[in-house]
Amino acid sequence: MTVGPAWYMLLAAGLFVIGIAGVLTRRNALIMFMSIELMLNAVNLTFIAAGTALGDLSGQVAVFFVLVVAAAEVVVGLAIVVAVYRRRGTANVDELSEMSG
Amino acid sequence: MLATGRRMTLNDYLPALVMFLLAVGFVAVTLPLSRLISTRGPATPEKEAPYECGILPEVEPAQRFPVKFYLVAILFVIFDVEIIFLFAWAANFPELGWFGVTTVGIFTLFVLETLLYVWRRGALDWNVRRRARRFAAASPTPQALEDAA
Amino acid sequence: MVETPEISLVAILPELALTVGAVVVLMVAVSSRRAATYLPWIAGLTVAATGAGLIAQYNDVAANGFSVSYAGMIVLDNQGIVIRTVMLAAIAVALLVGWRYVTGLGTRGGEALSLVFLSAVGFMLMASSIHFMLLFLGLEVGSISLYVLAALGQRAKRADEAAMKYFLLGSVASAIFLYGVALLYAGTGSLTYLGVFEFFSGDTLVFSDGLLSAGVALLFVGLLFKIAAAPFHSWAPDVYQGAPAGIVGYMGAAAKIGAIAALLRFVQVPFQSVIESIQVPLAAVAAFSVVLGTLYAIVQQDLRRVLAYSGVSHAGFLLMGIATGGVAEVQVLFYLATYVLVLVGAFGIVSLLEGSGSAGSPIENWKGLGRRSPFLAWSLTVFMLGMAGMPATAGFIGKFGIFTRAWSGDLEWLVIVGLLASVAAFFFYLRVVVAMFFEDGDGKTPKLGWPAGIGIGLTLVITVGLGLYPTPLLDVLTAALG
Repeated sequence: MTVGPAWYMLLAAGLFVIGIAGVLTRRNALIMFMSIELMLNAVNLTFIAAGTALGDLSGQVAVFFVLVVAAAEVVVGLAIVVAVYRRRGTANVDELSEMSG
Repeated sequence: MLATGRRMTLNDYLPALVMFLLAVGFVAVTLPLSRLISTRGPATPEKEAPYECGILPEVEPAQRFPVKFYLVAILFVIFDVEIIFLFAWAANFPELGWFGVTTVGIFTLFVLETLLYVWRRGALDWNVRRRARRFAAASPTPQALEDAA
Repeated sequence: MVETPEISLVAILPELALTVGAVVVLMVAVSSRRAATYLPWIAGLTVAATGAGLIAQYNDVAANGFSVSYAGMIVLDNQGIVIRTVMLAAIAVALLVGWRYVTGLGTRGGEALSLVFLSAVGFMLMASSIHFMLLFLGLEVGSISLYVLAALGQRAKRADEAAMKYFLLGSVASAIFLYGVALLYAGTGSLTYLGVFEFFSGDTLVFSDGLLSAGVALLFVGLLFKIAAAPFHSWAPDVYQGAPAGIVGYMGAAAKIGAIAALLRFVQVPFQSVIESIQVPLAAVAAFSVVLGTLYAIVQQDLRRVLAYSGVSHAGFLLMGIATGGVAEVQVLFYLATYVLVLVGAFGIVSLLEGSGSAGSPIENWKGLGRRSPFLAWSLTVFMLGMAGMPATAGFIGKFGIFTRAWSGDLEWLVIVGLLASVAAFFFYLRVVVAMFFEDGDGKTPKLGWPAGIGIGLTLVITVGLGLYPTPLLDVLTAALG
C-alpha cells in the first residue's frame, strides 16, 4: 500500500473538519482565528495533492495566492482582535453580544 | 495505485477509509477495555481537574508589557509573504524576459506604495510613545466620529 | 521564451481606474496636510474615470463582440459591464450620502475612500472572472476591504463587535468557498469555468461522484454566505446594526453585487449542463431566505436590523431568478440594480438621522420624522415601498420580472411562496412609515447636507422613474444581453 495523493486529500479533509469544529466550539477569537488558518492550510494541502495527482501545475500556483490572501487576512484579523481587546479587555466572542434578536 | 494525470474519484479513498476505520476501531476497543480492567481509587478534586501544564500559578504575572515590535511583526507578515511571487519570477527570469520585468515592476510598485504608506503613517517608528501620538493625531476624535457616523 | 498571455487593457479599464484612484487617495492622505480638500476631487475623478472605462468597454464589445484575455481568466462582455455599472452607481450614491462620514474621519477619510475603491475592484473582478482562482482573489480583495471598513469607526459604539463577527464568519465562508474550489479542481482537473463546463458536458453522469458534489456544494455555500441567504445569514443583522452607518449600505450592496455576479456566471458556464442538480437546492435556499427574512424582519425593533433581514429575503428573490438558469439575465440584473441603489439610499437616510452615537436605529427614533423632516421621511417612504415592491416603483418591476422568470422556469411553487412573502413584507416596511407620519416623537432633526441631498434625490428619481417608465432600460438590457 503506497501513500498516494488520496491520503493527503483525506488528511486535508480531516484538518478542514478540525478547523470548522474549532471555529464552532472555541470562544477565544484568537483560537477561532487559528482554526480558520487551519482550514485554509487544509485547502492548500488539497490543492497540492490534487495537482500532483493530475500532473498539473495550476494547483500549486493556486497555493501561492491562497498563502498571500491568508497572510492579508491574518493582518486584518489580528488588528481587529487587538482593537476589540483594547476596548473591552477580552477576546472572548461570547462577551461580544450587545446586539442580538 | 493512483496514476498521475488521472482525475480523482471516491474509489481512490478506499484504502484510506479502511485505515481510518481501523484507527477508530482501535480506539473504540481499547478505551472501554482499559476502563474495564483498571482499578480506580476515590475521586478527588485534584484528580478530576483537567491536567494542564503542571502546577497552578501562585501569582499573576506582574503586568502586561508592551510588545514593541507587534506592529512591525504584523507588517513583516504581509511584506514577507508578498515576496513569494518574486520567487516564481526569479526562477524563470531568462524565459520571462521583459514581460516578467514589467509585471514584477508593477507588482513592486504596489508593494513600495504600501511601504510608503506604512512609513508615513508612522507605523515603523520604533519609539512606541511617539508612534501612539502620531496615530492619535491621524485618528479622528471620538466627537468627530460621532458627528460623522 | 515563455508564451506571454494576451494582455487587454480595455478588459480591466474600470478596475484599473479604481485601483489608481485608491492608490492616489492613499498617497495624498499621508503626504498632504490639506488632504481633506483634495479628497472630493480625487473621488469624483476616479468615479468619472471608471465610468469612462465602462463606456470604452461597451464600445469595444459593441464593435468586436465579447472577448477573453489574460490566459482565459477575464471575459469582457455586456453582462460584466452591466454589473460593474451597477457597482459604480452604488459607489457614487454611497459616497454622496455617506460623505459626511468620510470627511468626519479626518485623515482617516482617505483610508475609507481607498478601501471603498479597492473593495469595488475586488467585486468587479468577480463579475468578469472566468477562472476560479481569480474569482477567489476578487472575493477576498473585496471582503478584506469590507472587514476593515466595518472596523474603521472603531470608536463608535458596537463597530468593533460588528467587525469581529463579520471578519470571523466571513473568513470561514471564504475558506469554505476555497475548499469547494479545491475539491472541484481535484474532481474535474480544471480551474477555469470553461474546463469545468467541458468536463460536465462530456460526462453524462451528473454529480454521481461524491467528491465533486461536495465541492460544488461548498462553492455555492461560500457565495450564499456572502449574499446573506438563509440559513447562512447569521452575520448580517449584527453587521448591519453595528457597522458605521455612513458606509454600511455600501457594504451590504457591494458584497451582494459581487457574489450575485459570480452565481450568475456559475449557472451560465461551468454548471450549465448540471443546472437540474443545482436547481432544487438553490430554489430551497431561495424559499427559505424569502420566508425567514420576512418573518424575522417583522419582529425587529431596529430599522437597521429590519433592513438586514429584508436583505436576506431580497437575496432569496435574486436566487429565485438565478435558480432558473438560462442566459438572458435581464430580470435578475434589473432587480439587483434597483435593490442595491435603494438599499444604499435608505441607509443614507439612516445615517443622517442617527448622527451622533450611531447605536442602531430603533423604530422609536423615527417617530414624528414626517413633521421634522418631510423630505427625508417621504424619501424613506418611497424607498421602503420600492423594497416592498409597490407598483409604480422600480421594486415592483423587478419583482414582477423575477416572478415571471421563475414561473416560466417551472418553479411555480417558489413564485407562490415569494408572492405570499411580498404581501407580508409590506407590514414591516410600512411600520417605520407609520411611525414617521402617524406617531408623535421628539427625536433629533437630521441635518441634510447637499451631497446627501443629491444622493438621495438621485436614488428617488431612479426608483420612481424606473417604476413608471422601465421600458427604455429593459430594452437596453435586453439588447445588450440577449
